[in-house]
Amino acid sequence: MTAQAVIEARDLSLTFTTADGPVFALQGVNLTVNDGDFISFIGPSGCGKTTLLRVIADLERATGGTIEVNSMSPGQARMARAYGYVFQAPALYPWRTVEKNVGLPLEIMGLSDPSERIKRNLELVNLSGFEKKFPWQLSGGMQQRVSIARALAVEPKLLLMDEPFGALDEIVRDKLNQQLLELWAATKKTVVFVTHSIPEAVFLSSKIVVMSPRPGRIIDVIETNFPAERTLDIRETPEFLKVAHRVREGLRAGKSYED
Amino acid sequence: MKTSSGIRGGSVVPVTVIVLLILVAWYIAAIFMNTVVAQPRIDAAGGGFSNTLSISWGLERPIIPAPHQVVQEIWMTAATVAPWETKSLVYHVWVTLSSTLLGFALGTLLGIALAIAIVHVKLLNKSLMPWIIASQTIPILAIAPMIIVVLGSLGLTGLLPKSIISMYLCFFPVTIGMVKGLTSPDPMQLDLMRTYYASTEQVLWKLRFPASLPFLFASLKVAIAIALTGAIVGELPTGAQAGIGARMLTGSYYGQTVQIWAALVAASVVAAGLVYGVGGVERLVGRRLGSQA
Amino acid sequence: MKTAGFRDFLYPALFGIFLLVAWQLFVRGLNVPSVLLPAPTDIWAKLITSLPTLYADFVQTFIRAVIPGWTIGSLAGFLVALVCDRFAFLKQGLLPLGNLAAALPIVGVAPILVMWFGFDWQSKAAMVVVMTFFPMLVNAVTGLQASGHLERDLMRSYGATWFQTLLKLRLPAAMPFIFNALKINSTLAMIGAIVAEFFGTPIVGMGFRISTEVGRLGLDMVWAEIAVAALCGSAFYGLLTLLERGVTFWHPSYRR
Repeated sequence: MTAQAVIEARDLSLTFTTADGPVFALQGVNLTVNDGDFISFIGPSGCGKTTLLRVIADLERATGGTIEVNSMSPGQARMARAYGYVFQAPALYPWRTVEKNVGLPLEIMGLSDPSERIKRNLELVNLSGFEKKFPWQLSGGMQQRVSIARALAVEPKLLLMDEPFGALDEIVRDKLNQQLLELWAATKKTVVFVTHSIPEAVFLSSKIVVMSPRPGRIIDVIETNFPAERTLDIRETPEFLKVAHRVREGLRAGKSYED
Repeated sequence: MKTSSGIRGGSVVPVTVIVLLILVAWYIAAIFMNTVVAQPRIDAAGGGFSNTLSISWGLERPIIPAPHQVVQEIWMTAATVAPWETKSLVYHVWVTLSSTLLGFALGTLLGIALAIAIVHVKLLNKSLMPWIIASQTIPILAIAPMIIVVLGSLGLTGLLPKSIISMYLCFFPVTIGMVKGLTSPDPMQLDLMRTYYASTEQVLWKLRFPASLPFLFASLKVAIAIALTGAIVGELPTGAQAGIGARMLTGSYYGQTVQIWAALVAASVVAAGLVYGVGGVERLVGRRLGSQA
Repeated sequence: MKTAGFRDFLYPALFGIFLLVAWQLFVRGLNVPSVLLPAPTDIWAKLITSLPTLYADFVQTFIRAVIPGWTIGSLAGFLVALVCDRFAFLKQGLLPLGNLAAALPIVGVAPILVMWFGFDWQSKAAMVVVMTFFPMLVNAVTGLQASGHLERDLMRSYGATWFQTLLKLRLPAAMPFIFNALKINSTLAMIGAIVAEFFGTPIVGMGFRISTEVGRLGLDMVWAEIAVAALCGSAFYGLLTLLERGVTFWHPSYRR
């Protein structure tokens, strides 16, 4: 079965011109993301993983090469609201209740009765019953779950996540990793996930893209073959450690551990 | 959304203590400052402590009236006189208050409209903002007389010219505050709107405007106080008949010190009430918009 | 540090010139009587020929009332803020009153001050002191709180005295707030001095000139005084802004 390419990048480059000279954020990136993939970008700061995600989302414009999202340009994909974006911080609007926050994109799209969709998506992230609460009444982990529900509310086929659990403590993070995996298995969406945590990338992904900085480029693409219904215990198995080791080797090769 | 604390900033006990101390200092100051006028009468009455107190604090035209004298004057002109008579303090307060409120409403609308324009049209930001800031270095209060006279010879008297002065005075803090507030959302919240392909109007009403409310309310408190000042000063130049400023002016012409002080206290009470009122609206809005207060 | 580009001067300058030209055309084109609104050219003519009067008014109002009043009022506000900082009880009692007083129509005390200090510049300076005291008090108290907990804990770990902490940490951290108050006070001082002159003054001073010329419908002189007052105010404000940039160059608001 030939999988449909949701994202196709060929020789993609992005150079920022700054006061201190040009910054090669991305150089010669070739990438194919198929429908239903859970793909992680991993690397140290400055390797271009967030930049690549933002190019896909049309929040940045590439300076060289081509990229297609759903066979359209990223700009057209954004206009068609083809993806949901989850930021590093919840970015909830403090003056809106949880349900109004989740309903924000639906309002903008002009959906007439969003209440059913809001309820469904809050259920997906296990936050039913919190509709009338305000963001400050929720913990960090719960706020981030609301922002995921918000991204899902548009019912996009593509979910873009930029280190969504980075600000949370490890125990909450573990729980959310498990929940995200179950969500992905249930909804069969395509997820592009940026992280700097090796265990998180190996645990969640079907494909891992190892990147390195200066210039930002892809060092290795690793296919994991873990069973679809896995739990956090898999992190102690030898297969897991083998993949993690390969990721680490990739990072080392990309000089990520040097100054 | 965090609300500002406004006038309520400390606990009740220290404020009460300080207020009492001020009252005591006031009474003592009255004795000393009134000596020039009071001394001959005290001597005529035979001198002594109780005479000093009762005469210093009971003069008809004191240098400093004692607090209870001011309260008496307010009572006499507010509670014992019908509110629609020209002798009534309530009448004068209402005259000033009406132009204050009108000017405040106009100034707020103007300020918000200007702020929205400045935030969305880059050219306006660069060309208009410096002049708006510079306009505040012109002592507007100082040219209030001129504005009143000019508008008067155009046939506009009474409420409108004073409201225009108030409006001019209060649009500035509202503009500055709103510009700050409308540009306060952080890049992540703006990026979120971009991922939704939201239009500029949608970003304005769904993100920028709600985010600017704390700044707006802080500016509204400054604006309403300054609108009151503008209305009062607007009553000075043409020897106006009505209003708090007019009361102060007639008091100073006829040497009725207690009248001046009574008008001043009335003005202060009105000012405090207005600012407190804005704070009340802010709390109501905050509760509806999930503030943490 | 942000440097003003050429465009940052060009656009407002162009806008200002546009305003002046529009004003001139409006007055001349519609034959607006000069008792209502004089044309910029008339005002300029009046200004040039009245320089001695304008200078005398400037000295009376700005040099004799505004500068001393602003200095004393700001200093007094700052010192009381220091005392409030040392004694929390005072702060809790005075600050709400200070916030309240800043909202009151303080111009109303002008006739009272004239009664106490006489007609000359002293009562005007007193008016300025009253008007500038509270903004400085409120801002300085906030500013003295502005240094962060971590920084203050660091000073404690060094065994620094209250005075050392004040000098090395809290005063520099308070500077943005203090300058904010100084700038606000510069505008308030001008307003206070001029409005105080409405209530009685010897026959010189900006406020005096404005109110008498308004009475005589000599509006071109009024506008000339306004121009001088605006110039003074802007120059005063601008000087303070330059000083502020030098002292508080580290503040985030100066980063690109």
